[in-house]
Amino acid sequence: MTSRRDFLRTASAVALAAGVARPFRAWAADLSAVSVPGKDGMIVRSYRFLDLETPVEFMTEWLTPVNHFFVRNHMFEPAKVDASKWKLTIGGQVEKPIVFTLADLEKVPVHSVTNAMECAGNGRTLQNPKVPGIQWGKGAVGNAKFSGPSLKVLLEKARVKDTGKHVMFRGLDEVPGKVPPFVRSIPLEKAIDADTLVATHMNGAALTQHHGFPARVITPGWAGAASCKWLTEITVLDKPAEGNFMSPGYRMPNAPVKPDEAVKPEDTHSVTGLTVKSLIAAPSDTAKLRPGKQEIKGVAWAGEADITKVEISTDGGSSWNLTELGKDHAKYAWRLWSYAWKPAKSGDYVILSRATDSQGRIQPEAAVWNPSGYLYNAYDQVKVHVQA
Amino acid sequence: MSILSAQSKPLPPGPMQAKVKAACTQCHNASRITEQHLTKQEWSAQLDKMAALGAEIQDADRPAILTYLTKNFGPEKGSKTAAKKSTEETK
Repeated sequence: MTSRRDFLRTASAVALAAGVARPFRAWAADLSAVSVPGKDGMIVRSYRFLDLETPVEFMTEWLTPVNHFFVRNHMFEPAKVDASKWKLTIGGQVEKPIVFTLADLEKVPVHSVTNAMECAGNGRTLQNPKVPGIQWGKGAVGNAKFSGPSLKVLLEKARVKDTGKHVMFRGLDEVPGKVPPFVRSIPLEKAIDADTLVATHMNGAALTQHHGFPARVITPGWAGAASCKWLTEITVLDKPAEGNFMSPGYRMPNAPVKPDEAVKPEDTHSVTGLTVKSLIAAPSDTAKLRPGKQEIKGVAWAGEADITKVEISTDGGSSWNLTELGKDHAKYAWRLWSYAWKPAKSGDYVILSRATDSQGRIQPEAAVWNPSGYLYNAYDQVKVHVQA
Repeated sequence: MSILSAQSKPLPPGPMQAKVKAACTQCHNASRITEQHLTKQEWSAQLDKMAALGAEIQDADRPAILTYLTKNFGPEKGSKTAAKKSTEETK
């Protein structure tokens, strides 16, 4: 049986050979089942609930177009929200509970953050041994400019009490049956960082349905689960929110564990900031290349830290070469990188990438295995064949 | 597991096929099950996790569901986990 991965590889190789700019567009058009309004050429990891992955070959731009931005849903997306009736409440440990309409939000100064958002489970399928969960490949990550009021400004209007320590978000996701709602909280300290947003816009346009219209949280530098979509309720709490999406969900062991080892809840912590990571967007895995100058390129990000360098190895990790970092950069954003490579001779090559960040973290050769497969960040790798 | 094959691979026949479908596919496609290769212990942990997430699994059905999942979606032959289990079982 031809696996999808093989199919994609084949599609990439064919497209590269033919010089087609967007190989997956044509591929998606052939499969009506893959057609998702507002999305283009995405890998469908789940139809229910909708989870869409971005082919890594698309990651050559500073800002990921909305139609190529990954989608992760925990529940059904809400039926189209009527913006004129939408309300956002702030309650809990506040002096003055408050309700905002969209018109109210539009009166608050707009702040913008370019954020590399990554799902905590991105790369899960690369974990060995395998772990349950959405089998994301490499592409549950994207970089977009999000704009809207700072959450801090809204919280100031509600006046958080001294007892308020955590901020919980609830969206309009439609909950099936007895499923608990997707609610999570972030610490107050992160919530009142000026860069944490109630975003209404993405890449300069109003949020789309898949990305949380009309408003979503952006908790920059953190795993995507901290950035609640279709936001409608903010509750200030004196302790972290409870429920399955806080524990056991989105938690990792404090120290490495073996696959068969039981982990006690007290020996785990919530997934928060992203790790340091790079991906190779070109050439594609299994590509066949002609001899001569090649451009190896991709993206790298490091959550709340900055990328300081990205290195490439074309000999399976024996030697490393510095890449050139793209001119566009911003706190929390990803960084484009490229490397001019001229293979010395025909043959098979393993190309590896590794990033280093301003906290001194280095993308590791092997990721730390964990039972839920969170924050996978081993060296990225593509294998290519150079033939005259 | 490819999406194409995942979509075309239904839950296999068995006494618990209908109940697994009812309990599990309210929230996710059957492919979330059929693409897994887990040990009995891991399937048991998944049942607990999903029950906490709202899956309605009757206590009386749980053992048969666990058997169904383990029988049809056990560890892949040659996988590290399978090899390890196999070694342990022969000890």
